[in-house]
Amino acid sequence: MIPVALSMDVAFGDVVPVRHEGQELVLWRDEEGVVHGWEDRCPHRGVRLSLGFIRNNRLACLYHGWQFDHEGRCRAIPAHPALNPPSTIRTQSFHVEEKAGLIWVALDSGENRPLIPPAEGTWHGVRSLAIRVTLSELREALVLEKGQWRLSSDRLLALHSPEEGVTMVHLAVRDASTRLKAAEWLLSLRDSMEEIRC
Amino acid sequence: MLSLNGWVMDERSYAARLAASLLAIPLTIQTDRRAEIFGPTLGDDEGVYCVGLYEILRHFSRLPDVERAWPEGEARHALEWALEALESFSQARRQALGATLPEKAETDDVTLIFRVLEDRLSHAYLNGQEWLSGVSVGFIDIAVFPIAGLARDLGIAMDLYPAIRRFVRKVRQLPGFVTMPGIAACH
Repeated sequence: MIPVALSMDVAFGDVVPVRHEGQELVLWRDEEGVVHGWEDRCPHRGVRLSLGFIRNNRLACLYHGWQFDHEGRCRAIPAHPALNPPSTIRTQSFHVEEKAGLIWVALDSGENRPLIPPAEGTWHGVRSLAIRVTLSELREALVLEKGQWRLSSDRLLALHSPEEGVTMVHLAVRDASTRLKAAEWLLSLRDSMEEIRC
Repeated sequence: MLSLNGWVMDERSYAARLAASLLAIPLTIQTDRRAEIFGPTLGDDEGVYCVGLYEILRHFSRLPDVERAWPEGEARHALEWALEALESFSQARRQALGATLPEKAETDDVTLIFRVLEDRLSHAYLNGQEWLSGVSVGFIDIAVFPIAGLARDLGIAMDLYPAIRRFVRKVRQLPGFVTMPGIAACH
């Protein structure tokens, strides 16, 4: 599975855009605290759902206000308030898991999904940082041969690739008191990686 | 009563309106297209006495009912950075919106502004500070908000900037928040 965001960056009410290797997603958290991951496209007119907003515990499209519930099914069309929208009007949804302080999305169906780390204990998100290097360059620097994450002592590093030449690094720690120090380390990683690339 | 001469599409005029609204300063708004180039001006019945966003915010901070300290020391540098960043962003946005053909609006300068803003907001958050100005929203936050709120006009990919997204959401929830074209009210 692909780590796409820190849990702390998807609060209730947030509508979060995510990209990974050409796939555009929207993440949002419902009132029950469950995170949903859908294709970032309204089935009505194709507008990005990440431009939308939360109403009645549903994600509403900014363009015409169509509202989609936690199953991705359209439940309300403001221009036709009396209409019960057919069940065929729905978004394309992806399997989402929230573990180790991160949100993981399964972009591939079936058994070929990469593993996610064990979620023992509590993890505290530090920050997600965009570094202007390719995923392979960063993998090489972090000695990460495969998979999307690495555990080293009390830090969890996870990667995804929003666009060509940019890698998003998500960092979480076990001890909340070390977050500032970990953030400084992440900034120094960015500086050294981008300097090497120049 | 104070009177603001501003232009509805101008980010600096918006920042002045936002500051007045968040700080509960009564203000009348006059439409003045010149603000698009030169920035907003503030005056009263006797004439104009503040030209530009810096002077307007400084004047607001001196009003008797405003309980916001004017930034000093490091915070002053942060405010100066915020105002310069807003000026650069404003120029880039005017160019993008006025272009006869679509063009890449996100210049290297604009990318740098977003990176620095993201770093500053993230650092403040990890330090337990609610805002760039400290424990309550202040002039630095107001000066940078139009940059964050209007990012989409320049095609900035906001998935790269989670701290800026969080900041935009927090400002939107403040009592007295006002909008401008490009910053919708429905969120």
